[in-house]
Amino acid sequence: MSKAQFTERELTRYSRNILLKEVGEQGQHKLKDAKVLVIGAGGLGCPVLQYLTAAGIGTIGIVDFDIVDESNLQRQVLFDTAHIGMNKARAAKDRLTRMNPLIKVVVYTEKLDQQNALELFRHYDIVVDGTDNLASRYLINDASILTGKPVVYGAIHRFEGQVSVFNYQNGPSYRCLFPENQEGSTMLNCSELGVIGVLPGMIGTYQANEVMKIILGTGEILSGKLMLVDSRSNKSSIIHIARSNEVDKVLASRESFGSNGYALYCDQDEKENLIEEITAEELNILISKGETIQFVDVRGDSEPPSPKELTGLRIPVKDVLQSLDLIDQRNTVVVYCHSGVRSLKAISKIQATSPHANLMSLQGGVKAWMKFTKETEKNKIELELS
Amino acid sequence: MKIKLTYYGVVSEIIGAEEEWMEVESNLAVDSLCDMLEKRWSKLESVQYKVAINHSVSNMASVLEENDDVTILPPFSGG
Repeated sequence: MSKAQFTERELTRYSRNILLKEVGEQGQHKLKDAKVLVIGAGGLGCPVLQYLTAAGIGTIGIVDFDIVDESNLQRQVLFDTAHIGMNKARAAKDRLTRMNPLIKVVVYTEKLDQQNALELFRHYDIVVDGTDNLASRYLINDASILTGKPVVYGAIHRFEGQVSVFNYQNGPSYRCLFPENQEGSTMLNCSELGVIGVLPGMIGTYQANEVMKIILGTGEILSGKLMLVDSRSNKSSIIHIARSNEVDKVLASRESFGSNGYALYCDQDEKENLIEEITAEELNILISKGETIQFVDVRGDSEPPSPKELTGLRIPVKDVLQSLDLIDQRNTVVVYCHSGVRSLKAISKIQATSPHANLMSLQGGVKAWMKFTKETEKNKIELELS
Repeated sequence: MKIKLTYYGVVSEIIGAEEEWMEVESNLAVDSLCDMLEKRWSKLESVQYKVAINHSVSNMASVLEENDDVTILPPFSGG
């Protein structure tokens, strides 16, 4: 804790914080000593940054590679017309240092990635997730687990918002809620939906409030709880989340952190087009012709066993690159997973390193295969009965 | 038996409702409920979502009871 006495100016500026018995001068020192990293200076990041700056958080880091666009101004309230075209982290600092010159604001204009995340997180006490895509959310989650930092999470969808604190004192992580391996293509797009500017303002303000409570050690932290807010009905509810083995899985894969393809979530739409897909029906024709097929099931070890007609290799997506040699590429190679998304991801990973690999993804995955075989079976029985 | 369903985000957009009461068979497990919903709204098949029963995240094998409050929750990505 900083031993130095507050200056007169600080005592005046923070007097309404200090008046609270839950804060006092001691609490204000905690705020001054705190280092908070805010990732994304957008709709959520702006209100978070604004309140943390005003409250006197000693060091605030801002990560954003994006530039201010006129269409941002409807909700990203730190920016004004003169900031258009400027890097968001820099523009935010410009505004924040004018709001409160007594704190330190550090700007990172590069994109958060596997190479810089761990090093960056180590310099801070708390990470705030104000990003706008799932790839970054998983990256932040995993990096926060590996560095032992709590994440104050906020996310929005049209009129609804979610807030939670992950990885706080051995609490659950984002993956305990959405493990990613039950992925679906619909959610994995990075295109922007419309939003009323007030909603990220509300959700970001909740995030700032959680940051304050964590630092001050007061109140109830939203750890193990996901708060849902609907701005249309003003209804809010809390869903309880338990810690699952997802946290340990991230810890166990520490070594491969730098090589996981987080960005694939975003690039998926483009990459999908380049990957050949095979339908369950087409695959069945190949099988019944007696063609030799090398099957690769890329689901995790804890998932159901491979269907017996599709028996082959079982290599979870994350291990695919290390196990390339096992795949016999002289035959037709069919890669599959539960719903046909991870198999695309696995193939794009392989194609990134060996562009000539000839692989097909089973469209709709095991789910589509089971549906197809069930229907064929049913038709057969009906034929026999008639 | 009757259960109350609350839908969020893209799930509520696909189903076209935010909440509703639904008549289901007794001792229905969460995975059967999901199958049922996915059969009725096939677009749900490609959505990742979590099911919470009475405000706690459940697993697929959990069995529903009369008047249970069931939340269907997809991830939100926006910010």
